[in-house]
Amino acid sequence: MALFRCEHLTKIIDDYRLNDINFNIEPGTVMGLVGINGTGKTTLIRSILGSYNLDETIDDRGELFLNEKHYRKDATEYKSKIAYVLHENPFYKFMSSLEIGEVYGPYYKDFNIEKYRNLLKEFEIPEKKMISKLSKGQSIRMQLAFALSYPALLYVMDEPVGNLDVEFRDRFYDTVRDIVSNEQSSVILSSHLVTELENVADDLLWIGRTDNCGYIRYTGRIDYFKDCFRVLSVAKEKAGDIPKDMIMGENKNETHNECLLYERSGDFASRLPQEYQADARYADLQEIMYFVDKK
Amino acid sequence: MKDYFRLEKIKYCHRPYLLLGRLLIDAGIIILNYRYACVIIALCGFLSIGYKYISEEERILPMSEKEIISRRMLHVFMIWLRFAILGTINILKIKLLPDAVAQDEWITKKPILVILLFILSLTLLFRILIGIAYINKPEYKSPSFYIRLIFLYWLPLYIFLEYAFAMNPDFDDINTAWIASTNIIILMTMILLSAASSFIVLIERKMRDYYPITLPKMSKTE
Repeated sequence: MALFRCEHLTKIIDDYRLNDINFNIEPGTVMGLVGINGTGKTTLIRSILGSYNLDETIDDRGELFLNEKHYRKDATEYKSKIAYVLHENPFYKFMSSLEIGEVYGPYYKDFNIEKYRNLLKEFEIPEKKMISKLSKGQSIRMQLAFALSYPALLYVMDEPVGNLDVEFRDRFYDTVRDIVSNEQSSVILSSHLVTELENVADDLLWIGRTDNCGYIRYTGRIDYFKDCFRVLSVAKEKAGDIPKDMIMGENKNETHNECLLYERSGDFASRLPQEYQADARYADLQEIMYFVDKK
Repeated sequence: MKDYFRLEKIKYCHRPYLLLGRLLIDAGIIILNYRYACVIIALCGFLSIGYKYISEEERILPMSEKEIISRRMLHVFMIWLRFAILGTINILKIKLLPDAVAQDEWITKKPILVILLFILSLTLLFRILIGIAYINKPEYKSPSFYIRLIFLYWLPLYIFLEYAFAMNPDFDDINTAWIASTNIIILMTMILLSAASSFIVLIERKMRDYYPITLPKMSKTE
């Protein structure tokens, strides 16, 4: 049974529509949320968290379930099991880190203030420093300390790693792996650092954009997805040998064309001419995104 | 309630200039002439309605929509309660001065009437502003809301005003009539402010909070 279900989510903000988003998250998985800027990743995350209301009067729609608790009908139970680390600190900026724990902690069942204080110490966040005076990286660490201080089922993280130093970034990824290791909790992790994300994520949710509409390009297992792509560098005069329907994107230079090839079944051996099979290599996620978004 | 006082304490602890501003306003309401005090209350009361906006952090917190709104409303209500108490002190202070006590003015029903009028007008204004602030809720879109507004809020206010003046034993006295008429002016100011606020709140509401009144035109791109 899926831990989290997002069914036909449509959210309109001004003239932008995040359209018909459907996905499930199984317990114990990390879902990487990717997409170019402005596709609606943050809108999706804020809708999941409830900070953006789904207003049916402007054609917003969709249902969200966490552990079968509905986001609106069982709002308290739904939200109490979500932890979050956001790019923009959602907490009141004129409070110290400790006050955040004291004021907002009690809203969450089993929030452990001692654990929170210990984590603040561990993450080197001054307890009495105001949130508005924390650096971006410190703000992320503070939120991470808060998120880890109560038992949540879904951890939603919106571009947390961009502002973290290299040392803490490793620790952050270890924490993400720890969270899902109990096979009960899951993580939605949005990031532009796709190469790092692909090392930690099990599933992928890729959001694309056409004009003023965001939609799902892919959702599912990341390994299966990558299996459908190859990168092949081919001499310009021989580019015609590659079946046109396989080419998802091309990077042309003077002598060679670098192509991203797609085969849904992953069976490149039967479709690609024999002479190119050895040269075709697996594409990483960043390359796939680069070629497809460029197209 | 505990949460409210804790948040207030934190707010003023980190930003003492806010506390200074608040103390100045509070002192002004007590010390100044009743008319000026009413104008301050009307202005600050109008601004206090801004507290009804739900912040992002509150929406994320594990609370239902109803709980969040009541949390916000408590904040607005506490401001108005403070104004009601301070305004009452303003009215009482004149009557408790040694000269007034000597003249036995406190015994007359006039100050009680003024206090009642003040509390009632404050309550009505509060109710009207809150009603306007939530005007895009479905129940406020129906004509019955405006009928209720007129018959439940405006009409009783008008009747009470008439009754207050009719009861006034010194109505013939020019000075009292002058005070009575200035009271009307103050109330009219409050009403005009509430009308202006309704306009501002509507405009503001259209621009923020992602509750546009008109539907955005979407192009089908998929």
